[in-house]
Amino acid sequence: MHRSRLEHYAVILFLTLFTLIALFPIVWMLAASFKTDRELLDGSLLQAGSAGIGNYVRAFNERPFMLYLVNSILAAGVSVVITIVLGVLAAYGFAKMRNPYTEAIWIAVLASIMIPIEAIVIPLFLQVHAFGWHDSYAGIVLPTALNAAGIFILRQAIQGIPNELLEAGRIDGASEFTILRLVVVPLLAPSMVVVAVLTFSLSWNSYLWPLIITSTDTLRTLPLGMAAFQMTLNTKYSEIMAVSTFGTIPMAVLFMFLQRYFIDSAIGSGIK
Amino acid sequence: MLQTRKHLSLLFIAPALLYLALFQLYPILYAVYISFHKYDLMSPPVFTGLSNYIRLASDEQFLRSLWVTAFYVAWTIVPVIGLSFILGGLLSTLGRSRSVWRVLLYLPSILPFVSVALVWKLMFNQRGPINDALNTVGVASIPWLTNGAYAPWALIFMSWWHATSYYTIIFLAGFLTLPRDCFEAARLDGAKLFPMLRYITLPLMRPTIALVVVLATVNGLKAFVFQQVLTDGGPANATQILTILIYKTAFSYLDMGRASTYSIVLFAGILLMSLIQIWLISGRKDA
Repeated sequence: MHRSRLEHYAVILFLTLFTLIALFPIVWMLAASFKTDRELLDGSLLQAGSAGIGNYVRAFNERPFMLYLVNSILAAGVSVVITIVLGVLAAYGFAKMRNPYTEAIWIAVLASIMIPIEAIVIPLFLQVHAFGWHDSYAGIVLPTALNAAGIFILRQAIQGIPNELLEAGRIDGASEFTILRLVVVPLLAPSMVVVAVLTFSLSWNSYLWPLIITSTDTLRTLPLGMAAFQMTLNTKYSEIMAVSTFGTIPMAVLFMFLQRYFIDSAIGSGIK
Repeated sequence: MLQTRKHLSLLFIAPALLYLALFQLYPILYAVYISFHKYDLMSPPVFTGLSNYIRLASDEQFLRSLWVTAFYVAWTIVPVIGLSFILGGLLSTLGRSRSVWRVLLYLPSILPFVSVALVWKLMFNQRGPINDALNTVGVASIPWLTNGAYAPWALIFMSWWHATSYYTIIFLAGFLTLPRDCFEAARLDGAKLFPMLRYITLPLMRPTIALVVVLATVNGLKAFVFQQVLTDGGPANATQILTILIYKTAFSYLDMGRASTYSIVLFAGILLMSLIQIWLISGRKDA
């Protein structure tokens, strides 16, 4: 009993240490965004900043961060919608309408999940150029909008729905599409949120592709705007921290409301 | 009736399939095609056979980059996997407080990658908090990002911080599926901690460990943002991982043929890891 209590305290101590390490850069970023550069570099860690929201105001005057934010939300939103709509349709086909065709095609889909954007940016760039989508919203969003891993997660979820439920609908003469809409989709809601969260985060972090395909400042997404701001001459460190904090806010808000789904999406993207 | 359902299934699958064919399968084939050519975007591609591939063996920039990538991936994933395993395991022993710890430890993963990169870039500043901490314990400031000897380590350290948060959650999920009674029985028999780890925990956790190894390797190979924002592959190419080399070769030197060849190498590495992953998943289902 005594030993196990001691053990328990040791575990808590260990976890506290690593939680502090995990939180330090985040808290430091937040604090730095309210400091002046002098306070940030020369002052002590615990000293409160005297800059108020000045860093945020200056950064927003310097570059259209609100527009970058809208671009990012738009890109992530389109990504989520395309992944959910095409994903649910395809997942239903793969899970409940199995035949030799779909079995063979499923292998091809699995293969395409493995192709990372990093390996195909060059041909994709040439292709999108040929479409005339270079430096446009379509060019940024559409080529990478469908998150193939989402099909995988949705297929897994649909497989778990008992066939009897679907057969009942078929006997009543409902079309496959009606069954999908009225029987399957309502049961699929939690998995759809998981896929939405996963796809949104992926798009929110998307950097290499938008970097390559855009050159107009007003088309930039938030990660690009943040990175470009950092490269600008005379940008203050504290302003960069204000912008970093700003980029985190939307994810933090989503996380507050959808914690469980974030965790599930982390697990889902890993273990599948 | 059955025949129509067969065709109907294709109708459901077709939109997603066309999408993937257009934006994933076709580009990868096109990359293979370009890798057999010399192409600078200005003039039409010139067929050069295998010469891009043959040149790889003597391409010092590429070989250096391959080494930098391997160094980064190896030094990132080994400590991260060890630490996440321990943290996940400890979390799984907790009761109701577990969900609070889990949320706190997961927070680094919700930051946008670019935010993470910008914060760490500043923390590694000559006058940043990391050097301040070193100074207080009597160590001189380290030129983290401007010296080729330290820059790779700076990126590795920040990746430890970033990745541990994510893999801890995955290990925790793995630990939570383990049968509790195994450990109770061993404990009642008076088993010590290390034999218990060696003979019960590790064998049961093998599938999760294997998956995390694959996942962490693939994510390491795909890294781009951290290197691009913190050092842009420098100083003197000390942090030029493959993805940075591909980006520069294509868009700074406009050598699409070479860049595609590098991409194929990167893809082959990732494919190999993914095949291992599929093999592991299907193996787990049979077990």
